[in-house]
Amino acid sequence: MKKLIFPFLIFLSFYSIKSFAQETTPNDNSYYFDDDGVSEARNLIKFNSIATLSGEVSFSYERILSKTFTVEFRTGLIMPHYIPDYYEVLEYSESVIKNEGIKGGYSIGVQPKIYYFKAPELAYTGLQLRRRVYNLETQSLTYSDIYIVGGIQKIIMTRMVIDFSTGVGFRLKTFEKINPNDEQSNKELTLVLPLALKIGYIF
Amino acid sequence: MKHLLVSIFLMSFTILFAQSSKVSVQEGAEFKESKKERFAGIISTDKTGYYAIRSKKSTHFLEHYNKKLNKTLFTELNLKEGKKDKDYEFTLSLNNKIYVFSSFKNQKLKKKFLFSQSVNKKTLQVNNDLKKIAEIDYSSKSRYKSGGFSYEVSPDSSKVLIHYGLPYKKDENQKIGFHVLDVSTKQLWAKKMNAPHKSLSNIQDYRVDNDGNVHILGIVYEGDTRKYKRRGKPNYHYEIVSYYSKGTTVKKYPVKIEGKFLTDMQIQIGTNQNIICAGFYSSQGTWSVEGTYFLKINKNSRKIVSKNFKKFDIDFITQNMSVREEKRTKKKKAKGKNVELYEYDLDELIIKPDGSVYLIGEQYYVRVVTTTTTDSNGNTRTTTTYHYYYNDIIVINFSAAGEVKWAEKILKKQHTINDGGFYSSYVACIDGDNIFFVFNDHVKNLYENDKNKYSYFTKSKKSSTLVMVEINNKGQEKKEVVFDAKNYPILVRPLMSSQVSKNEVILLGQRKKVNKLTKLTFKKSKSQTY
Repeated sequence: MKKLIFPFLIFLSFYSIKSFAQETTPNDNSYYFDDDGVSEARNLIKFNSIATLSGEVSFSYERILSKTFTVEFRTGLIMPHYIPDYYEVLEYSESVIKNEGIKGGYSIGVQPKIYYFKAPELAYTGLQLRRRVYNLETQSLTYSDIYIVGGIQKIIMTRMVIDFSTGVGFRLKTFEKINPNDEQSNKELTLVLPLALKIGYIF
Repeated sequence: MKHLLVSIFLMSFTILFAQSSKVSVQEGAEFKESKKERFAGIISTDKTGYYAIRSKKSTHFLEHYNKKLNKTLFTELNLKEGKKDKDYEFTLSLNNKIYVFSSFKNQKLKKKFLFSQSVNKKTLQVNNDLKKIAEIDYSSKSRYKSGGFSYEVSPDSSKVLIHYGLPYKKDENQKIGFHVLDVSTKQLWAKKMNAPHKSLSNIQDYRVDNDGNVHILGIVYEGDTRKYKRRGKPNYHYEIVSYYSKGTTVKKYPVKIEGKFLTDMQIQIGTNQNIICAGFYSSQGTWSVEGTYFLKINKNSRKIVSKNFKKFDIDFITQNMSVREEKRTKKKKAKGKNVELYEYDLDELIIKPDGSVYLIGEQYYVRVVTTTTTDSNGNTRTTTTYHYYYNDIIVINFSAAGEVKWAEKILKKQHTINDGGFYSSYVACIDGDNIFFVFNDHVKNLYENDKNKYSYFTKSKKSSTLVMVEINNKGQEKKEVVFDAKNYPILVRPLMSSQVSKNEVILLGQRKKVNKLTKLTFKKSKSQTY
């Protein structure tokens, strides 16, 4: 019996020392920094709500690389029905794209971003490179965009992210010639004024 | 020949001015820094030299300079706690130790915490002694509106006041938090409270005295609207609220002159721990100055023991004005109209050991000019230019009893474009009975007696010089050259310079990437009168 009591007492004494240490350690600051890893999160996934209006279901992934630098990759599926970009309505009403002719497509893009304060929050500037390929019934059409973006991103409700951005740049429209002998150029350079409102999650 | 004679004459003047008898200049070695890095000032001094903070966006560096003003060590402050980054708030020097204060926003707890950490002076890194000081609960607000922490140090540097605003509902009084710490950042007392009444808002100044009592200066709106003017009359007054005995006793002191607009006001802890409140007032509105105001609250009786206001006389108002301006102002006065000083900001309230007070203001304004031009192709171009003016300095000397002993206006003209006044303004230094002002000036002004022909300092290195104006205990001023910028690689930034000891000022010089520290040591005057 004595043999059993002795180890039990040792266990109890260790246990009580451990409990006491936990209760009275004044320098234990872990409580203040326990935020379920929100402040350590380096990845963001976002859905671009405005892009759906122009027929694209677009998701992006942003990775924090340093204190102020991030890279955002985007990909999207082009749907058969969409509203043309507002600047297309204004300037290119005779665009080759017609709602009824579209069969689908895809888009990809990359955007390095520099935050003015601390990534991934508040004001930033980025350079967006984006490619959209439309599959039309009779031909294919490619949009190659390059534009400078300015935006603001905020984290709300612990992990939810809202990212609003706008910018200015150029778009190169390249379309497949229906008649190969057509002398008209199959390339067209236009101005592009992007607008994005993304809702996402940080993890 | 004529030109040669003029040149020799001017040179002799420059040489004469360059031989400053009142100040000795010690220059440090030049060093290069990125233009993006911002020198935030000297934070501490000890027998080994000087400690400074430099910032680049969210990165902060601690630097050490030896007594020869050469940089000996610099290190990036590591504000990581495990994998979490804390945000830098400020640095304090207490009892010969340096403390770095940083904060962390905990999104899970919806709280922003303030921490202090001491610095190892040998490595310039923070020690492993993180201590929580204060917290702001922002659960009812966005984390971006969680507010910030600020500090004040008592006159004897024995107490530190950490203060911050707390979120509050629309129908509630403004909510504030205080933490009074000792020199080892140990909390002496803390209080979170609503402001004494709803109309007290716009808190202008916080002070902590040597006993740890807290005094705040705020604006109280008298009507329902938060407007300064109502039917041409002031709709506000200032109020000092003092928290004695660890915040258990609250005293309110209204600061008011009937029918006058108090335009700028500051509080300071005077000798014997009396509260000194001084500033400017106007009859017209909040953007001009008609006179000066002084109020003293006795520490023991906790009552107002002195209250004075004095209108500036016409000679003071017209001092340093051009002949035309002076004529126009005097004519206006003769017609019985009010004449006032315009665009003056109250900068500092300095308490001298004998209890007398210096109130220092500077004329500062920004003029925005937008021009639209169209070229031959019909392209329109619009440009906006910001003109920064830092002009005359006014110094008012109050006796310990609150009477105006003298008022003096130092002639200064500084005009720079699109730089935020990087090289403008002044640094003030008290040495015994005298007060010194150091600033950049146009070299022509050294030998120009005609105020109408005074030239603006424009940050051109060729025409710039660093000058010092000394005002003695009778209010008489004397100007001397400290050094000629032409022979100096950099221009001094007075706003980044500071008094580091009784008779020493450290100046930061900067030109593009080149930086340099310079120490001015003021020599004791043989005579106090000129």
